[in-house]
Amino acid sequence: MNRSKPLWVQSDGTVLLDERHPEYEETRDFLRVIAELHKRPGEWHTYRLTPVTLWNAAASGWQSEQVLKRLADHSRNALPHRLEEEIRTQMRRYGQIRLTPSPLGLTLIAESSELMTQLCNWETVSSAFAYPPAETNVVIHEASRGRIKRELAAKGYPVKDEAGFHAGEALEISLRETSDTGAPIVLRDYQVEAVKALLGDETLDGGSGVIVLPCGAGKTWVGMAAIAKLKCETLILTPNGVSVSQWITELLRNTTLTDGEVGEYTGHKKNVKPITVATYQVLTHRSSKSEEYPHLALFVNRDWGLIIYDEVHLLPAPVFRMTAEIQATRRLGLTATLVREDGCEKDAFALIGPKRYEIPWKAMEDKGWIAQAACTEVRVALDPETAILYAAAPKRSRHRIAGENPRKTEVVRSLLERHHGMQTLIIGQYLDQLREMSNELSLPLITGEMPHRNRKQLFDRFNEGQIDVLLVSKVANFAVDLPNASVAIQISGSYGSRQEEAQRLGRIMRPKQSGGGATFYSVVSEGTDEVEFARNRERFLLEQGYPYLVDRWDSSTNTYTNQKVVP
Amino acid sequence: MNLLLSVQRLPDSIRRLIASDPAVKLRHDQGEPLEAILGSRKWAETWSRHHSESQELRVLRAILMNFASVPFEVEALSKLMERTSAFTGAEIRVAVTKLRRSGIVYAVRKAWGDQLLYLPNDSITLWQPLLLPVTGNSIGEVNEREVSYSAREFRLPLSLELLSVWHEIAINPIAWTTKGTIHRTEVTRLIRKMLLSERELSCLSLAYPQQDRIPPQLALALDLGLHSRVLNKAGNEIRISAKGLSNWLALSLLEADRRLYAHLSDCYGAINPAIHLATVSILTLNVMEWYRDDILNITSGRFEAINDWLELLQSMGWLERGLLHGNSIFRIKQPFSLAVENQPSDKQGTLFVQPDGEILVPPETGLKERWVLSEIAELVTADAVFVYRLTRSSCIEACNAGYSKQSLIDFLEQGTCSPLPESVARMIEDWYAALGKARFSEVLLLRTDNATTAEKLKNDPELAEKLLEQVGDRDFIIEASSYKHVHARLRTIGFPPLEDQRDRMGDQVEIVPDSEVEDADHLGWIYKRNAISMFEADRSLPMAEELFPGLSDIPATWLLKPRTYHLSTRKELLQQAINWKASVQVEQKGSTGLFVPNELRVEGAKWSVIGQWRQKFSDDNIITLNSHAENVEVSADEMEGVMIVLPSLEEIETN
Repeated sequence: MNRSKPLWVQSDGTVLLDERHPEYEETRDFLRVIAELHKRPGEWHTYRLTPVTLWNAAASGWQSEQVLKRLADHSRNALPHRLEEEIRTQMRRYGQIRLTPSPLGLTLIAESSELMTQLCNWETVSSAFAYPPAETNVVIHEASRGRIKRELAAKGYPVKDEAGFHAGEALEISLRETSDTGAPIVLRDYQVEAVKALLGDETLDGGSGVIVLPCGAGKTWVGMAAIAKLKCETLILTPNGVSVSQWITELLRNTTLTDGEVGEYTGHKKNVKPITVATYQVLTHRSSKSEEYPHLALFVNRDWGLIIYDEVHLLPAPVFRMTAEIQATRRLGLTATLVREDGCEKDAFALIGPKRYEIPWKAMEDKGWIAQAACTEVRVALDPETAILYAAAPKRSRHRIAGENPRKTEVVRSLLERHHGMQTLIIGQYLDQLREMSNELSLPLITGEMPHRNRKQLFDRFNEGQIDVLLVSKVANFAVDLPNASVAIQISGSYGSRQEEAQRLGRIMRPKQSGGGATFYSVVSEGTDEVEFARNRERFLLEQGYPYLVDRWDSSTNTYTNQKVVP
Repeated sequence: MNLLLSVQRLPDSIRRLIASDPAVKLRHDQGEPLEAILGSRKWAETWSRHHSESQELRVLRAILMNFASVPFEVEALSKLMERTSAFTGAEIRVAVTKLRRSGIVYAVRKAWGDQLLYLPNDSITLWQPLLLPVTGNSIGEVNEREVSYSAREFRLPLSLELLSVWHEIAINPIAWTTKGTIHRTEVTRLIRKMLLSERELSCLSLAYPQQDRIPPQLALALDLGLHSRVLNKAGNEIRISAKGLSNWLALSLLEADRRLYAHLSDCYGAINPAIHLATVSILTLNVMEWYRDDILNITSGRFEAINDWLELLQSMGWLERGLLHGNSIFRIKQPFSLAVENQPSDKQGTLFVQPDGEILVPPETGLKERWVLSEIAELVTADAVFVYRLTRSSCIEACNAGYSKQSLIDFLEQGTCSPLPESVARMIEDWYAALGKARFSEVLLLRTDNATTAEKLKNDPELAEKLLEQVGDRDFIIEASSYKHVHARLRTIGFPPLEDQRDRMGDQVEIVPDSEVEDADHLGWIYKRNAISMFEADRSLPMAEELFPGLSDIPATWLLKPRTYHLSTRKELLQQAINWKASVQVEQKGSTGLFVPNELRVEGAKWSVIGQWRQKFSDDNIITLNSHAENVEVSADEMEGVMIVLPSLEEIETN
C-alpha cells in the first residue's frame, strides 16, 4: 500500500480519488476521460469505469495500455487483474466494428473474420445484413443503421460510425453580434470547444455525440452555436413546455432567426418550421397503448440536418427507437449527467454518439461560470396539535402533514427578510399549502393549473426583476430557466431522483448579475419523516461536493439556533 | 497431531531420553520446554548437521517425502524403502527407533496393539526446508504484460471472508432444528456472505456432519471458527465465543491469515503428503515473486493435486496464478511464514468517514476495527477497500449491540484521527435521539397477593431497602443479586415465598462454557482424516530384543565375524537374517560381500538363498550396488563364511 498515490482501484471498476493529494487535479482530469464521477462527498471522490466510459475514452483517442499505465502509476493498490482485462477488452472493442459508406451501400466492417462469424450468429444483428458477408465486410440495409448499432452496443460491441451524415435542408442562421440589451454576444471558451469537439472529423466518426455540461453552464448556447455552425434545419427536443418556450426565446433573442422560422410543437401547438422545438412528451403521446406514436413522424416531416436532444439522459424509449431510424442525421445530446436511471447508457452511446466534451460542475464554479451554492436545511418543529395529528395519522398521510406544517410560513417569512430584495423561488408540492402561503405572504403563485401563457408572463417578470419572489409548484422542477433566482426555498415535496435534485439545484446555479452566490433552503418538520427525506437530499448534495448546513427554527423566540448562514 | 500434544503425551522415560541428547540438554536444563526445543529451527539444523551421513536422516527424508504427517506402519515404510533404496528392514526399524528417541518421529498404539508412527503435522514445516528444499528460484524480473492471469472474480483474503460469516453467526447463532439439522434458510443466509464456492473446495473432499445440507464452504467456515475458538458449539447451537472472538480480533490480518493457512495445511493438506509438502514449501517462498508451479512438485507425479491446491489458495485470496510463455506460474500475495513478525498496524487514520456517512476501510485496517464496523454500519462493498454506510437501521443495530452514541462517535474519530464531519455527527445524533427511550428488560419481580401484603413488606426496613421499585400496588422490582437476602427475610417475617418463578427464570440462562481443553483433533466441524489423538501414545521405545526377536537366543558369534558353519547352521543363520530383514556378510572365494537375503529355497537336501548383493568387497575396492540390484540365487555351497550384520544398537540400548 503506497499512501503517496491518490487512487484506490476496486475490482468492480470503482475508483476512489483522494482530493487532498498533490496530484489530485491531474488525476481528476485523467479520470474524467475514462470514468464517470459518481459522487464527491468529502475527501474521497468516487468514479466508475463502465463499458460506455471506456468506449468514450477509446473514442477520444486513448489506448488501453496508456489507461492502464496511468491508473497503475496513480494507484495505491495493484490493479485488479479482472479489471485490467475489462479495460483492455472494452477499449479494444471500440473500432473493431465500423460502419462506412461504400459503392455497394452502407457497409459493416469487422476487424476479423472470427468477429464477423460471431456477428452472423446473432440473429438480431445478422437480420440487418443485405447480403451474406464477404469475409470481414457486409452490406447492411440503410434503414438498419441505428438498430444494428443499438443491438451491438447492447451486446458489448460499440460500432464506430464513419458513414457520415446528410446535410439536411440549408438554413441561413448566425449568432447575433449583440443581444437585445446591446451587450456583445461572445461564446465562452468551453462552449466553442464543445461545438468543435462535437463536429470533429466527419471522415472518421465525428459529427454526432453528447456534450456534458453542468446545469447553468449554457447548454442552450452550445446548441445555438452548433446550429449556426451547421446552418441547417434543426429539430430540438426538450423535456417540457416551459423549456420549449425558453429555447424559442433564446433562439429569437440571440440568433438571426425570425418568428416565422421557429416553430413550437407541443400539446398546445403543432407548428413545424425550419427550427422546431418539441417536447419528449408530445412525441411519445398516443391515444391508446395499442396505437403507434403519431407524433414521431415529426422526425421525418422535414429534412432535418441536426437534431438536438436537450437533457438527453431523460430521453424516453420510444424516442430512442425513432432515433435509430434517423442515423444519417447529425445528433447533439446535451446533458448534465450521462447517468440514466433506466440504465440505458449504452443506447445513448449507440444512437446519439460518444461523449464529445465534458467540463465538471465544480470546475465551472471555481471559474465563476456558475454560481457557488450554499445548501441549508431549516428544521422547524410541528406545533403540538399538528404533532399529535402526525403521530396518530396513518403512514401514507404523515408525509403531507409534515409537509404542510403551518410553522413553515414563519420560517419562509424570516428567510425572505434575510434575503430581502434577492430573486427568490419558493417551491412546494401541495397546492393548498402554496395557496395559503401565497395569501398569507402576498406572493404570486405559479401552479400547473395556470394557463401556459400566464406562467410565461410571470417567469418573464421574475427574470426581468419586476417580481422578486415567486411561489411555484412542482412544475418548476425541470428545465425552467430562471437565471436571476439566487435563493430557492423548498417547503414541501419528497426527495426526487438524483436527476430531479440536480435540476432543482440547477434552477439557482446560473451566475447572478449581482455576482453573489446562490442559496438553497429546504424547510423540513423536525421529528418527522421529512428529516430523513432531507437527509437523502443532503447526501446527494454532499456527493456533488456542496456544503450542507442545518439550522433549527425556534418558534417560541422566532430565531434560529445553530445559525451559521451569513446572508 | 501437532508437536506440542505429541510431546505432552510422551511418557517421562522417553522425554528424559530425548532431553538427554547433547543438542537438547543444555537448552532443556535452562528451562526451555522440550516441545519448544524440538520445534525450533536451530535444533533441527543442528540435528541435521550431526546426522548428515546417518541412516536416520535418510529414513527421515523418506518418511517426509512419502508420508509427511500421514500416520504409517513401519512395515509400509520398510516395504517402500526396501523397494526404492538399499536399506534393509532392520536398518529402517533401528533408524525409526532412533528418530523416536530424538523426538522427531512419534508413535501411537491402536486399540488392538498395532503401532502407528507419524511426524507431527507442524513439524513438516521444520524438516521440509532442510531435507526437501524447493529447488529452483523465482523467475526473477517478469514483464507483467507477458503474464496472462486467469481472469477470476476478486477474492478477499480468507481472514476477511470468514469475518463476515462469523459476524452473521454473531447476530443469529446457528441453531439445530428439532430433527437435529441446521435449517436450510440459515445455510443460505450464511453462504450468501461468502465468495468461496462449493466447486473450489471440491478438491479437499471434506467429510462432515450434515453434508447433504451444508455446502463445504460453510463447513469450512464453521470448522475454522470452531478450531480457532471464535465459535463455540454447545448443546444445539453454534454461537460466537466472546473470549475466542476477542483473542482472534487482537491478531493482525497477516497473523490471522497465517494461522488459517497453517490450519488448512495441517488439517486438509496433510491428508496428501504431496500437498502437505507443497503447502509448507510455499512458506519458504518470497512474497510477490513469480515461481513456476512445478517447483512444488517435490514428489513427482502429483501435479494435478498441486494444481488443485494452488487453485484453492487463489480462491482464498492468498496467491495469484498466471501463464508465462506457456508455463503455469504463481506468486503469493502475503507472507505465511512464522518468521514474519506480527507487524503492528498503522494506527494513524486507518478509516475515512465521508460526509455522506460512508466509511472507507483501507486494506490494512485491522480485524477489530472491521468487526466493530460490521456492528455499527451496513456493508456496501467488500473489495480492496471496504465501504460501509451509517444508516438509521445500522444505528439501531449498534445501539442493540451496546454502542452508545458517544462510543460510536469515539470509535469513528479514533479510526480517522479527526473529528467526524458535521453531517455525520448530526446523522448519529438524529438517529440515536429516538433510541433507548424504551427498552425491554428482564427483571426479578416480587409479587404479592394484594396491596395489603405489599404495604407490610414496604414497612419492613430491612426488606424495604431491597425493593428497587414498586410496580402497581402489589409488585416490586428487586435486584437479582438480592434474591437470597429477600428470600430469607420474607421467611423471617412470615411470608415464605414461592419459588417457581425464580426457577423458571434460571432455566432461561444457559451458561455456555468455552471449550478450552479440547485438543485440536476434536475441535472443528470437519472430520479429521488422520486423527490419531484418539489412540494411546506408545509408551516405550523398543529394546533390541523387540526389534530383533530372538536376539538373545542366537550365538553371539553370528553377529561378530563371518565364520564357516555347518550347512544347517548356516541355513538357520540365514533364516534368522531373513526374519529380521537384516543383511549378511558373506565370504566367497576370498572376497567378501554384503548380501540381503529375502528367501530360502530348499530342494530336497540342497538349499539356496535368494536376495540382492548390496556391496561386494575385493582386495582393492568396494563395489556398492544400487538399490534395484537384481535378485540373485546363491547356493549354500557358495557361502564360505557368514555373519548377520545388524545396525548399531548402542543408542537404543540406553533405554
